[in-house]
Amino acid sequence: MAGDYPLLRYSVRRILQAVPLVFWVIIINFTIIHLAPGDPAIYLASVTEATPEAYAELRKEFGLDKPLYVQMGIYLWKLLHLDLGYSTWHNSPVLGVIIDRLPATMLLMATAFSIASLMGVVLGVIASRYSYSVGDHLATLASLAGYSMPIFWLGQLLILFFALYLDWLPSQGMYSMRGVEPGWPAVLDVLKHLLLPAITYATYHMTLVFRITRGKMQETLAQDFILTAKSKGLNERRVLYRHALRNALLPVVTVIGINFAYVMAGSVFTETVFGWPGMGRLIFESITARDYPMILGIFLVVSMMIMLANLITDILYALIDPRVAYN
Amino acid sequence: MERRKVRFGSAAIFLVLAAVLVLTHIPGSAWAQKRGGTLVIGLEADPGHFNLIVKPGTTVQVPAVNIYNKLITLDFDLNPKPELAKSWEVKDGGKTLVFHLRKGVKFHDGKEMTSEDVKFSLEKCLPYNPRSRVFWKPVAEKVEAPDKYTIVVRLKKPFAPLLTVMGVIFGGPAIYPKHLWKDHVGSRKAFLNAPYSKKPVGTGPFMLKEYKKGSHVRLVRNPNYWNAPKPYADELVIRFVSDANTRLIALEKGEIDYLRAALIPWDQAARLKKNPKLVVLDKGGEATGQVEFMLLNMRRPITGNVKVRQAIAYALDKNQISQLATGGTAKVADGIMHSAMKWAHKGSFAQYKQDLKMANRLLDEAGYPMRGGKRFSLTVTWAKGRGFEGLAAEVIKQQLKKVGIDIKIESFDRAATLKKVYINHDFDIMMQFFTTGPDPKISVTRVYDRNNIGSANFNNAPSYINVGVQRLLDAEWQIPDVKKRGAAWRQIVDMVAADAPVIPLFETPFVHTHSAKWADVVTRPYCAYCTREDAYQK
Repeated sequence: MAGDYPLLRYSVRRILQAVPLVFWVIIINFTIIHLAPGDPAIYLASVTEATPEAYAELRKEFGLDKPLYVQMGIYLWKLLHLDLGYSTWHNSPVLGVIIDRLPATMLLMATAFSIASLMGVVLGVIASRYSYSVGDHLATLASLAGYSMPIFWLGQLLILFFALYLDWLPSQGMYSMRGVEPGWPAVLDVLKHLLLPAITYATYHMTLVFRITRGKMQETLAQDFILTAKSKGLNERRVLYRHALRNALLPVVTVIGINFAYVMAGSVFTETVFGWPGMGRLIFESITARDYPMILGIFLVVSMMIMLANLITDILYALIDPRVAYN
Repeated sequence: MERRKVRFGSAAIFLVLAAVLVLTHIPGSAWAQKRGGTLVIGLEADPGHFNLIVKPGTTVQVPAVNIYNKLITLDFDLNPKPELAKSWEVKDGGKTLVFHLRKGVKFHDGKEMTSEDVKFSLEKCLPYNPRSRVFWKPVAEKVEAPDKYTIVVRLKKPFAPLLTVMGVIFGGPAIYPKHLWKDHVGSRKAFLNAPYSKKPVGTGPFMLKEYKKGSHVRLVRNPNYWNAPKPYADELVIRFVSDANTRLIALEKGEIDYLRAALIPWDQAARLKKNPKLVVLDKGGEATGQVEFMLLNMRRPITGNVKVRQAIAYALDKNQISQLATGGTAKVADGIMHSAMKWAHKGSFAQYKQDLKMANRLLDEAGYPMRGGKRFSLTVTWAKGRGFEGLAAEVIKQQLKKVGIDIKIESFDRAATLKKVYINHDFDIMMQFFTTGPDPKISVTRVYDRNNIGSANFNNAPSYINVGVQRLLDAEWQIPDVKKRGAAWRQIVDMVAADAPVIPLFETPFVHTHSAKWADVVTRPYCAYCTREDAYQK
């Protein structure tokens, strides 16, 4: 049966292959987190100035008084029952907190990712068409700057200029706290809040996609089949987008796929700088509070998302390049 | 006659004008307050829930103090003032306290608050408050509710700081509705898992309307508040912004109306004062009385030597430290508690004026001669998150270099630093910001008490033991007469200053900052946990 659906068979195999990988990710995450000095009990006790007894009680409650391998066993056993544990700081099930924060991150990521991929590809194609022109040099220079600039610094600069100096956009958060009517005004309000973090988030990835697209396009445009296409009398746009871009796209898709992992990492900076109520800030807050179950839960969800992104990238290969087969 | 009339007329006009002028310039004058507006407060992190019973930390306190009330509160001179208790009497030489409650106070669910709720809060909730139980447990004996509006607290022995301590939210209990909580008592977990951890019901000026995780908490005016016409603001929003720079920009831009002093970079205070859209205060931290200290680990051979500790104290120029670390906003500290606690404060550390000759002599005497411009190395530890401590450490490094002490600076995040210093005692010098109010028994004693050397945060980290100091510490809190108690504390400060297990550097400034559109945002001596019922839009 499955033989009739190579794509399906391939996907199932990849997912099964991912199971031991996820297992190792959990083990490594667990060990690394517990190696960091400090623990959730000491952080929680630090906000309440607790006594040694209270500290000991907290350690017991969180199971930190047991040996590490026992703690790990308990965690894995819970995971098998789809229980990600209980956040020590939020005092809520980990999965619930993640689900609460996920939509904000998805909105930011989807917007930034779309801007980065679309703009990066389009600008890359244009730059390759006008290779070594003044415009191309300027775009390459700008992309180098965008690529090198730390996200948190770019974010601060954008806030200072657009929010404080020009006063066009809000500086932080996802919602205005005063005088926003529900319905469309509320949607517009979120979009206004979204703009600066999305641009900040997108810049790095856009420059990366731009540079890869430009380089690969230049290479492709120099090949014989492009000359053939041109000599057949096809118009330039068709040659660029149908012939050259399709051939140049494979490495670009790879980069976009790999980028996904970095996008998650970038969300920590962007969301912290912009006070965006998503997973990135949750990671930052949870690490500060040594909220072990929360950190592990987030890492697990993120790891699975990255694996999914890689799978989607592989599937996209086939759609773009018919030579790729799934066996 | 005509002339007299004209004179009389001008005098009347003058008087009216003068009265208007005076009235409009009295801050918070009764006629000026009007209802309306949304006050937005910035907070560094999402509290996760509003359970003050088991997590009385700042992020929970900031929203929760507006949802709950306490029995009493404090004025700026730290005197107890009525809140839910309209009056009280101290009897039996301080062993019995009788509180008379207000009548007709309602919880947000409409049920009346009575002495049963207070008894429940004191008996069932307080023992689980990790902060309050420390000082309640050894002295509390019994709580009685002889009638609906009277509560009697009986103590095993007199406890002089009790009323002051009950005036702050981490000291006395907030009053919780017994009818909702009674089935959720008995353990930390039971309290935390109660539905009222996330949907709190109190008697306070505001009620919870919305909790958007990671973003904000929205509270609305309690229409049945006992202290009507307060609260004046229609809504109170507490917004979570973790980045310090973004928070400040949001304040300057008007997206946030209030940031407490701890969230204001102090070196920016002078610039903010010039901004006409903002008001930078200089009050509202008297009860917390925070002071920046250097803690010297007496377990280590070098810092264990009293001459070395004294030499370090002599080698420092505290004015320069305050100038460079806080932009000169902070006042130099000269005691082990904040000078706002006038009855007990003494500036005994003022004796250590910078004197490099003396410092060098003491170091020679301690057996650490100068060799090639250097005597020994020490490490200064500070926890990331308080940039001024890092700056202070850099200045200290430069100053101590002059007497041949080579300073290395290390910094970790908060959780890691606390474990290193307070649990593992693995440090030479720690930069530590301590609350020293509202009463020294609560927040000063812990650092010098020999019984508090152990494994808990903010304990006696220097491992300081002085029999004379200990005797006084054990006795002072039972002295009902404030003058005699004050004298005992002054003796303690003198002895600690001579031993120098800590070196106070500066008193943290009360630069709470709010939008000029609002007034009376800070009306209590404790900034973070101050109710906002008085705040009104101008």
